[in-house]
Formats: sequence, structure tokens, C-alpha cells
Amino acid sequence: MKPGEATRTDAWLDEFERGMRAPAKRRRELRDEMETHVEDRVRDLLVAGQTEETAHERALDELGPPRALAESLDRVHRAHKRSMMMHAGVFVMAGAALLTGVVSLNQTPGTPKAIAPAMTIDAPLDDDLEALLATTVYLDTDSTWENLFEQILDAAGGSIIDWDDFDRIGASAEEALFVSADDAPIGVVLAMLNRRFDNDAVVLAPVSGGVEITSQSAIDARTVRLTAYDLSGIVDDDRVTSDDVIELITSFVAPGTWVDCGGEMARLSIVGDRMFVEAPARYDDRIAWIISQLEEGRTTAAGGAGRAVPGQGGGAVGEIPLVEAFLNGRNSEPTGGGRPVPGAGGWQSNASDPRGASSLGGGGGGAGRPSSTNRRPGAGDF
Amino acid sequence: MSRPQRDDLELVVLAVLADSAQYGYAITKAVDARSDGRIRVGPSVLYPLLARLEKSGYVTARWDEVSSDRTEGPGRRRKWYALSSKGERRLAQHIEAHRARVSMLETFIAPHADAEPTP
Repeated sequence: MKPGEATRTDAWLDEFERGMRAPAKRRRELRDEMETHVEDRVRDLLVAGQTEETAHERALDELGPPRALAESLDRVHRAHKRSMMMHAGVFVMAGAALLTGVVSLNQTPGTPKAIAPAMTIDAPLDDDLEALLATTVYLDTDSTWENLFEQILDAAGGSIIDWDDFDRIGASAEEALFVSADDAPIGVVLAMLNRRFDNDAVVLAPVSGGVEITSQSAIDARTVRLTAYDLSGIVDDDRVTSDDVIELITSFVAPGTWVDCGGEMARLSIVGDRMFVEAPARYDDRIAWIISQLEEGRTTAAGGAGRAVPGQGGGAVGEIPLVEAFLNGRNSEPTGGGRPVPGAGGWQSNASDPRGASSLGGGGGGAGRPSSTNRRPGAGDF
Repeated sequence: MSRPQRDDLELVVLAVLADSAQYGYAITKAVDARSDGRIRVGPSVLYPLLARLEKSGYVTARWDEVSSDRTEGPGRRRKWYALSSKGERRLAQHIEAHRARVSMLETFIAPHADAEPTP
């Protein structure tokens, strides 16, 4: 190759690389890709009988002005910035637990042998969400939450973000992340950033045609529901008291969110052999697991052979007729179109949530949110 | 030679990748060959499109080392693109939408297909 042609190609590539605002690694990759393209094209043109000079000139002409191509490629990463649209019908995010770190009760080395199998709360991630979490992002030291969310929305094909929600949890648009990431998967970046929040997290919720970036607390507020658990055979005043059960649950299931413990999201009461929990849907599996362990422990202590745990996932049986009796007796039917579904373990609305999680009382969780009333066993004011 | 719309171009590129993994320049040649030169995808359009498809998860990319005419020692890298399972679904959607559109237009065109143009 003549030195003049190499210089011209290098000059084009230099300007192309300088024209991009992407992180250095990505700029380098794109430069490599363009350089290989030019070389391939020149080789074909030479085979076709063109002179080296003409071949280089034509190959570079076809690529166009280096700055223009650099900007086009940059735009791909900044796309959707202002096209985020409001979207209704948000699903409970299957992978929320993955990002919030509330995942399992796995046994760790050196601890006593677990008597119960590890419990995994996560529902399987849907393929699209899994692919999205594996998609890589680029952040430099000046990148903000907005920069990160743009890249996520871009990868997801667009959707919605509610900045008021993020202002509330302390992740405002212009706030710098102070994180550098080249080719880091979105799931890893979010998991790392979520360590900054005490009782909250940034989560991705699939919606029709894209993804909603929201907070765990916002998702929780929408999915608060009333569930009844069967404690018969578990609570007795000698071994396990009602207070024991309440303390276990409020200590191990999203501590800090229970009304009795200074939170605002969830509350529970025990009446007779029934426990009523008004909490986000994602709490159900963990509560059921704890109850199933209490039941199993009691069976073992009584010399039993580990009888089958009734109900789904352990102790959750959703004794809706009993709940309905409470509600009917106090003229407080759910107002959000919800109706009791026997055996469903809670209220299931007619709304679009396919997992059956809905806000008790509707209205975006407002009417269904727990009040600050202190509910203790026997209060019964549902 | 025609200028395909953005959606058509996406269909064309995804269809090429459905046959086999390709690198950028090979895609331009494949499109040219399959369309008998009627569709040309220039690099200034192709590479931003590939970047968007990759960001959206419709294609996956891997790097391969190639020998270089311009440098000695280790060669440069070549970026290969392959259709992902999400991309397969996207391609199927494009094909379905395209067929629906053609079918709809056919209902208008068919009665006049053999008609002599009126003076």
C-alpha cells in the first residue's frame, strides 16, 4: 500500500474516532470495524481493476464524512431520550428480586446445615428481560442516572420512566453515578447501584413494547394485596406465640417496610388461627416459606413424619371466605373491582396484571396502602 | 436500485443474518447479491443500523482476528453479527407485517393489473 493511501485512511479513522463521545473502548472498537471495512472494500475494488488510489478514495467516500458517521453511531446510544412515553398496565417485575438482592436463603459455608431446601423467590425471567439485563452499557465518570436509563430504554426499544419516582428515592436525572463501565451488563450495573439504597431499588418492569424503569417501592405500592394464612397447628401459647410469628416475618421479610416497625408498606394481624397480611405480592412466597418451616418444625417435634404442607408454597391458603366475612361485616368491599378468588391466596383484580397481583382498593395503591394504624392480633379492623 | 425504508432495511439485514453470521462488509455484499443489485446498503446506513440492532438485542456480536494488509504483527479484529432468538422473532414480525401490507395493497391493485392505461 502506498504511504499516501494509508495516511488518508488513518486521517479518516482518526477524525471518526475523535468525533464520537462514546467511551474509549467503544470508540476503538468502532474504529477497528471501520478500518476492516475499508480494507475489505479496497481489496474488492483492486480485484475489480481499480487503482489503489481510486479504490481508497471510493471506499472512504462510501463511508461518508467521518464526523457524520460518528454522530450517527453516537445517536444510537442517545436514542429515545425524549421519546419516553407514559405506559399503563405495568406487570410485577419477575426479576425484581434479582436486582434488589432479596433472592434466597441459601446455606453458606460454615453455617449449620439447613433443614429446609434453599428457597428461591424469583420467578423465571422472561427471555426478553433476561436479554435486556445481559445487554451491556457504557458509562464514564460523568455519566448520570439519565445517561444510564437512556441506554436501558434504548436497548429495550423504548418505554417509560417516572422521574418523580426517582427523585423521591434519591436518583435524580442529573445526578452523577461516579461509575465507569465498559461493556458492563445492565443487570450487574443495577445490582451494584442498588446497594446504595436502604429499602429500595431500581427495577425494570416489562411492559407492552418495552420496559418500565421504576423503583421497587413503586412496584410494591401497586401490588399490595390482602392474603390470609392458615396458622392452625402452628401457633400455641406454649411453643410458638402469635408475637413470635409476627417477629419472624417482620424480621426476615422486607424488614423496615412493616407498619409496626416504622415502615409504611405492609402490615399483618393474627386473629385466632388466621394471619392476615396486607403487603406487596412479592412478600407472599417468603412468608409462606417461613410458615411452612414452623409447621414442619412442629411436626418433627411431635414425632410426625413431615406431613404435607397444605396450600400453595407452604402455609398460604388464602382462606378468602373468612376474609370476605370480615369485609362484608364491615361494609368495606374492595373498591378497585377486585373480588375474592378462592384459593388464590389473595385478591385478584380484573385488571391487566397477569400474576394476579393488584392493589387492594385500586387507585394506584392509594386506597390499598396500609394506614398507620397499629394492627395487633385481635384488632380485626380490615 | 431502490432505497428501502428503515423497517424494510431492518428486515433485509435480519434476513441476511438469518442465513448465517456475517460481518458488516459481507452484509452489504450479500444484500447486493440477493437483490441483484436492486438494493444497496451503504456503510453509513448499515453500521448505525447494526449498532441499533445490537443494542436492542436482535443481533449478537463477536470479534474475530483477521490478517491485515496495513499492519504487521497481529491483525485487526473483525466484528461478526448473528441473529439472536429475539431477532428471529423480530424478523418473523417484519415478515408478517410485510405480507399483510402487500396483501392489503393487492386488493386494490388486482382489478387493474391487466387494464390498459386510459389515455
